[in-house]
Amino acid sequence: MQLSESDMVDGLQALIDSERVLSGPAAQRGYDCDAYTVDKSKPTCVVLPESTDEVAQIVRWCNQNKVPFTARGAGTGLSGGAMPAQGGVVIATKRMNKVLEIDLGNRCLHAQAGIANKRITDAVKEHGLHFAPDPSSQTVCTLGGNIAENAGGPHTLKYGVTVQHVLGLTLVEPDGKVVHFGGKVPGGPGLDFLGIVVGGEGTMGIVTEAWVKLTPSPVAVITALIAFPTIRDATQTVADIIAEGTIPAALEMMDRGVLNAVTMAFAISYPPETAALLLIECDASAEVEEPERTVRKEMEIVKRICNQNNAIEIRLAEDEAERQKLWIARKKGIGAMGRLAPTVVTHDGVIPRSKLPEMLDHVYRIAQEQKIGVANIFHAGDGNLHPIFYFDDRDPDQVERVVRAGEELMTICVQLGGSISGEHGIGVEKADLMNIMFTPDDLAFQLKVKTIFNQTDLCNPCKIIPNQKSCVEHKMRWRGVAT
Amino acid sequence: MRVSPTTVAELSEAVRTSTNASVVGIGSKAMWMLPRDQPIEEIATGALTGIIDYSPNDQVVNVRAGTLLVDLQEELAAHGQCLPMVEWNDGWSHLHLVGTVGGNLSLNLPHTLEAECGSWRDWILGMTLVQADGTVAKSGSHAVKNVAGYDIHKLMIGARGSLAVIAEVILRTYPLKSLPAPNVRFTYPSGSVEGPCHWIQRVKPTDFAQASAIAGSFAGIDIPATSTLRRSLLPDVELSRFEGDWVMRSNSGAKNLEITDPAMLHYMKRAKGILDPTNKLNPGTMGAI
Repeated sequence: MQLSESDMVDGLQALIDSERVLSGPAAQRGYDCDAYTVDKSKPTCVVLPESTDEVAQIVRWCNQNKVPFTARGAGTGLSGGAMPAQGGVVIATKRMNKVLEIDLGNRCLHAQAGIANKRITDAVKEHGLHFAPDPSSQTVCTLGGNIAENAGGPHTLKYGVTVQHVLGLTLVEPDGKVVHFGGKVPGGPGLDFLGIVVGGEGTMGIVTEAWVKLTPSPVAVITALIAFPTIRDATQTVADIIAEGTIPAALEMMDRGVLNAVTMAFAISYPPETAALLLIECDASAEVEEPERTVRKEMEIVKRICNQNNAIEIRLAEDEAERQKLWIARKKGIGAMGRLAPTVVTHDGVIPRSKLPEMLDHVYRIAQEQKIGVANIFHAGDGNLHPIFYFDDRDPDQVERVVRAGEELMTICVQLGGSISGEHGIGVEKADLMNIMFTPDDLAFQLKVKTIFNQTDLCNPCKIIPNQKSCVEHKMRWRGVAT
Repeated sequence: MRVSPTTVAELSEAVRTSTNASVVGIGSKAMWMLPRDQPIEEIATGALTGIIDYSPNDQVVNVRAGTLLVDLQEELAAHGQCLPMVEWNDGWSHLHLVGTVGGNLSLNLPHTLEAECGSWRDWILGMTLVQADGTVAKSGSHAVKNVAGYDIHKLMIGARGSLAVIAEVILRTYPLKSLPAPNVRFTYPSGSVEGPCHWIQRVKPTDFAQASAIAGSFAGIDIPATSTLRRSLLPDVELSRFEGDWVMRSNSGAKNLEITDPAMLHYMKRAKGILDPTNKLNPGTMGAI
């Protein structure tokens, strides 16, 4: 039997303070999608728990009443992971933002899942430590969201993605029991369930607290912005740096499309014949012997490879202010794209790094064939592309061409040995594209692994694996095709 | 009965038709395993060998699970690369220098460069595996960064062949020239006796000095970067335990694998029940789950 909205509100208000149970049109519209706005689905209620125990009570109530539930951090996800696909309850962690313990001796920090990524670093900065994953949304995105999506960021090339920085976590299982995985001592006998839950896109329960690793902050940093006359020169430089065995802290690329937007938005200029820019950062912490010298040596190697590949200009940041200026183009690039067209769609394909030159050629060809604008701004060092298609979504023909372009792009990524997502996740956005990468047998095995944790499908339903039962008919509604 | 498949198809058939199988690479890690009843069949992946593809420029290699680790290291070294596991010929060499790729990742013993270069969970990019019913499934890709789907290959690390049989592994490699020198302290106190039982213990960094001091009278090595100590002990010798620590042992019978965390045991049991419902793959190898 389906519960009415008022039954649901009553039931949830019996568990937590009534002002932390939201319902009605404004709440429902505010929580009907994350930063992936193509698919939308309204929850009936939104709850704002403040503790693991409250989350567990809410989840148990949802189970007793067969109500689907979906966790949500800041809603900055890019693949619809926090969209309540079958309605029900959105469990928003924004009130769970406390640092619970800082253990400097063991270099770790215990926090609630709703804490903003950046606030973890703020809490330990004075001790020369930081939380390494740095997605572009880090000032607002939450630890829980980072864990769900196994988030990356520009500095993951050297420091690794979220899973490499989570030591332990508290999970409210899909049936409402509370379990703890891992702790201050990583590794050990047994199975790596922590490694499965991180990146599980919130389908394996709700992570409410985590122990994260703190990393020594760099004491020596050199940042360089290098201009190239052709795309191939820039992509070849990336491939050569990786092949050389040098691992910069960040190795990012931007093409002319992005530069045009950035130049307009921030009045930054580059040599007129620039076709692509690389942003390369080398760093070292105090734990490295002679950090300054190490970094200078690394940057010398980088500069040599850039020059071999016809670099036109190498601009080095001398101080922090200069450095921030060089990062503007990269950090604000996607935002600046808004100046070029009403709508942008950012893709997230990954390929083996030596295939970058070839892949970029495909990106431009596809955009030309489909007659849509494209700009590229991406984590080149990881082979993680972010082609941005810009178009006018009021024109259905353009929308269709953008969808076709995206599918072709993903197919080529897979053909080249890569993947359809490097860091944004599958969610609802790319569930249908999983068939490009995996056979039905592969997907059936993934579904089995999901059921180790999630056997009722009330916890964040219809994500990652395509065509799960009872999700097919919902899809039309998310897209606004049916009511 | 012992079978040594040389192709994934043969492996699949062997797994499908088995009822109670011991799954091994070449069997070099037997000393670390729990003692168990004689199985009906043995499926050895040691003949499923060779590199499938290797792109030195991408630092990615795809290798069959039965390939000896030393053979893989030799191939990679020819291109200035490696898997960053360094061991010495000091009585511990059997840790990683022998055995297959699949066997090593299935046991997942700590190594000396873990803090600097990571471990199997950081290196494995994808996998081909044979499920208990013989169905072949793949995960991951050749890209170094990937969040498409569940990381099912992570579940195989340390699973001791109890959930599925690993056929092929895609690994990221490491440039030899940037390999850091391991920071290791050898402790061979005079008069210390080297026993046949290996003890590997990891503790919190804040407990490491004390743990190391207590274990100081026994022969072995300390790896400060990961607060790990290894000692060679005589049978039945126990070292001190610390809050939140873990221990892996060899030649110590039922103590070889001691897992007491209730959440871990609960989910191990569930994973086994779902992925190997008839309990045919290495039954008992993860304890009484």
